[in-house]
Amino acid sequence: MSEQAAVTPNERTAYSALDRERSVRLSQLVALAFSGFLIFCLLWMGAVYMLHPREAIPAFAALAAALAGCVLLYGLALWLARRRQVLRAATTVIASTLLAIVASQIAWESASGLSALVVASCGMYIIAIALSGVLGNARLMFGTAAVTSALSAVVCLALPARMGAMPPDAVLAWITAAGEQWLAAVLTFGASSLYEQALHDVGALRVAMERARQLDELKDQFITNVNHELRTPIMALHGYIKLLKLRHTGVSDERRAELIEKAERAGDRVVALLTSILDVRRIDEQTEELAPEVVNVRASVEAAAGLIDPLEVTRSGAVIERELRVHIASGLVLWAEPVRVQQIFTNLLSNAIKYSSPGTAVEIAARIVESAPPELPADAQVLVPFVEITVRDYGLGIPPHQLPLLFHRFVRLPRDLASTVPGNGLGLHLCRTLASAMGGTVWAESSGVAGEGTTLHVCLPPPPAETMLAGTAVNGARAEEPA
Amino acid sequence: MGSGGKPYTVLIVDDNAELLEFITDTLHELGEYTVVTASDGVEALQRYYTTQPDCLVIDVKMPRLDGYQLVRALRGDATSAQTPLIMLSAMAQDRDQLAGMLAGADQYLLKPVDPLALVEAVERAIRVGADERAERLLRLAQGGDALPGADDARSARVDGEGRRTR
Repeated sequence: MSEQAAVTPNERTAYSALDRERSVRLSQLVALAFSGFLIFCLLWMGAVYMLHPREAIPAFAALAAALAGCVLLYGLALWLARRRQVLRAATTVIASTLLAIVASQIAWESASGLSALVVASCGMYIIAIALSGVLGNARLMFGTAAVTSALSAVVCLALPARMGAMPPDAVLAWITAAGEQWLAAVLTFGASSLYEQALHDVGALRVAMERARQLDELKDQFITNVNHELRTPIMALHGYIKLLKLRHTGVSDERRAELIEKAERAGDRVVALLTSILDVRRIDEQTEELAPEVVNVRASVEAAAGLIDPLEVTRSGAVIERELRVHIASGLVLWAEPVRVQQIFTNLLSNAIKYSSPGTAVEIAARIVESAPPELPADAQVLVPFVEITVRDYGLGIPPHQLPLLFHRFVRLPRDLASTVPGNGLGLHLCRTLASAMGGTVWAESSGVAGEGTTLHVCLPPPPAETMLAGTAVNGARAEEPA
Repeated sequence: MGSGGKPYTVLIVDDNAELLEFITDTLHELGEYTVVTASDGVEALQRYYTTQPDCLVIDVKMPRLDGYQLVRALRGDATSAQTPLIMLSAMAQDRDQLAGMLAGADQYLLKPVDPLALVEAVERAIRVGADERAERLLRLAQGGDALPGADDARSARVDGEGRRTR
């Protein structure tokens, strides 16, 4: 559950990252190619001027200046593209292209009036429209089409009218040019939206691949883990049975009973491991079937602590009892499924004991806090009361950057994989799944400093107001249960 | 029985208390050995020099000094270079076994191992003896292939190479 949630934002970013990268590269390519072409034109114009200075048209000096300006604009677009300002780079490329076209048209028109060449060159605006479709978005493209229609109107209608040489078919020429441009805009829009769809699919594919890879990694880790965790108890179980078979008559009754008990213990470990694996599957599949009721926090914690053996044998052989400090008001209740809550507490307590050295204390506290409900986004300003239970140990702690790893299924910290502490990487995943199924959350907090330990927080909802009144009897009954 | 009727001493090195207990029980039930245990490589080295065992059964994954490192350390010391070493691991891939043999182990057993097979391996490793180990290596160096048992031949060959590269 949590793994999938972690992947979802990538879907959008994967697509837009692909699209941005493509747009940036294309802008750079177009800016380089077009400015190269303009530089060639400028050199050619210079050469013509050098060879035939007399025949040079005065307006062409202004054109040369405009084209040089376009080259500078393409340079600006390159710089913007390098800074990953995609839309600005695209707009600059298109503006520069439009400027180059319209400057050439005006220069030509001022020399020879509205010739067929000038009208035909209105078709060149299609280049700018196509570019805007490929580099930018739909808005930029239709905006460009509007600008090119306006520029065509200037070239075909306004300028000839001002020069007093309006040919009779100027309006028809403009309508044809503008029509071509809008047709090109619609075609480009269709093509680019199909292309965008393809990019979306590629992005989704990439996300799916990444998911599959993550899953594969998890699977590998799970197999390694289970392999390691199962082999030991199975070897003991199988071995003791073989020993009993081989030494059936050769051992005393007492010794036989001892061997049988050891085999049984190994068998229990195998069963416990398999149960926890199956539990995760079952809970992942049917979390919605939990039936909440009023649960007394203190009673539940004490029942969980009762399942854990407080005696530990240190390396030197001394037996030490753990100090369990419980700071929970006896009347504190929450709204959850009792068995599952106890499962969460058992997991957290056994973790606290497993990952801290013998003799150090474990603290459990509970209080009512105001917090944003987990089903709403984090920035929602709604606060509701929660019962927060914290379990703190004074062990090695967890490096803060590894904290998110804790709750993944079958994942254990690198340190624990290399250590002798048994575990299957399921406990905390189970806690989180159960807590979120009951409308709560679980998170961990640690400075990573040895001796300062780790604090695990569980937030679960308090009983709804109406059950608080009716539920006092239930409550009292629960508190009296033997811990 | 060792020379003079004294039971052989076997040092078992494993970080898992349950397994230490099981191997100890196995050796006690199916043979007559003095069993010494250690829960990591460093402790094993200390125990080795105080108890002078006739054979070691070594797990691979252990804190502080792992099985491969322990085997290399023992093979590198003249007093322990000839001691029979058996590796016992859950790491079942060929390259893990090869790594064990290259480090200098005599045998590489896989968990879960049958109790009888474990005792047989210990017996065989002890009985091969220092002289025969040296002889096998000599024959190997002379290019002789006539080695007893395919498993032994493989271990000796790998073992020999391991030594030359060291």
